Amino acid sequence: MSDIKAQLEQMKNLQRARFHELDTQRNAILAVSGPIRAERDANIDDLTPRQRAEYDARIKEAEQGLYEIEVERGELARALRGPDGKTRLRPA
Amino acid sequence: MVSFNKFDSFVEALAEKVHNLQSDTLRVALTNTPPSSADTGFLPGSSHPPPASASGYSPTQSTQSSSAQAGGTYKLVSGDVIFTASGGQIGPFRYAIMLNDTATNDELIGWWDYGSSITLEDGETFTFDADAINGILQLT
Repeated sequence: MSDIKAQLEQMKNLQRARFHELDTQRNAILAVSGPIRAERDANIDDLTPRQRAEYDARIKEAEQGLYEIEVERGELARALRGPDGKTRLRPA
Repeated sequence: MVSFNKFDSFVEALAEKVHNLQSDTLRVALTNTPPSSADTGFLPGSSHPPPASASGYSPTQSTQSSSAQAGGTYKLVSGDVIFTASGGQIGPFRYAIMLNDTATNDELIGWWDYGSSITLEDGETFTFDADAINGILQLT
């Protein structure tokens, strides 16, 4: 029985590690797309439709895979929820 | 997921080209102050203050996955947003607000009421569950 408990705790630690790995990937993507979004948003009232479309295409390319990362992070956060509904990203 | 509450101005803003929900920068903000359906733009300095403790907090991007209609019903699907307290607490907060950071006045879209105030301790997370099936919002 204690073996199973130990394995479950190990699995939780693996999920935490994966969450942090995804966090790093997400931050790397946002480090590229964030400045493009900021530049577009700062000039949004002055952009022609073509310029806007060019910005949107650059953002889309930079953020490929980001949604999937956010979904997996959400799944891990839900899986790691404790009885009080909170998720802890550090081992208890 | 808790239910979506619409800001009244959102429907007019949609009709007048304020929002491009497919590609604008949508963010989720947390506050402990009840939003009003009459609010129009995001005002973190007055109507929508951040949690009193905000270690590691900032309004966070929600990445759109799908913005499309089927059979006349439009659905916006977006990624989960996770807030992690880092170096201290985040809280208290009770409401999550979605805003459009691209729109000129950070126009508001909707909010969710979690029923009671929440405070995250250092290292804890709060997940804004974006429904992958039904989407964040639907328009008919």
